[in-house]
Amino acid sequence: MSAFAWVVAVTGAFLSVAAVLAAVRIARGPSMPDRAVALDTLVAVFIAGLGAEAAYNRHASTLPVLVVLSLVGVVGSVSVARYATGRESAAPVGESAEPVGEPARSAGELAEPAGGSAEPAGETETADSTSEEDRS
Amino acid sequence: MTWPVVRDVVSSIFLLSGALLALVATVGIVRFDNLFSRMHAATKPQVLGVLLVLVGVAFRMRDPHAIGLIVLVGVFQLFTAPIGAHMLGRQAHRTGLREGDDRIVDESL
Repeated sequence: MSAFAWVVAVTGAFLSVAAVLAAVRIARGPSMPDRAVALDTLVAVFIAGLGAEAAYNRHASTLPVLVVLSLVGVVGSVSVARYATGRESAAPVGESAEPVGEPARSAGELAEPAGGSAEPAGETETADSTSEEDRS
Repeated sequence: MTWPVVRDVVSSIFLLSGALLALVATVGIVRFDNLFSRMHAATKPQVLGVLLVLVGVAFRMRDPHAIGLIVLVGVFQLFTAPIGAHMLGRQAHRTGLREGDDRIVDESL
């Protein structure tokens, strides 16, 4: 193996471990935004890995794939943010108009969103169990 | 050292630093305990890590036409990564995913 082959092998090892860790967060992530953040990072790791392969073989045939990945990778997180993150995303118009004119709220009130008729208990329960799991 | 060797060494340094940044950032994604800390860790390899690897690839390429595509990848990544992070952060903040957020006054609402 040439010296550059060793460099690319170490790069691939780093990126493989990074992809596995991002996949761990995708599997464990308590909420959909957590998974979307890890998925964006996974796309970045894919771009880096394909780039390392192109650098090793000195060919440009995977570079259009990199262009497509860098353009399309954002669609997942944007669609998750737009449609799949909870109750308020169903009504973006009223949600943006609602907080205008309200007095400044404290952090304790912010922890419980107003108008939580659509089961806020489930969310706080999930968050509590997650933080406990991470602490241990 | 001749010029091709210098190019390979510079390319190696950029490739290794980009991959190491991705590794460290994903360790942060796994270990941090709330969404915004994870997002803080996750957005570094999306911009800096990818750009470092792309600079490494550009030093390795023989064909100068490939540099155009590499620059295009970097520009698109610079455009799209902040869009995704902004949408996710805003929506998570609005839907109440705020564990670990210890601000007294929240002026963004």
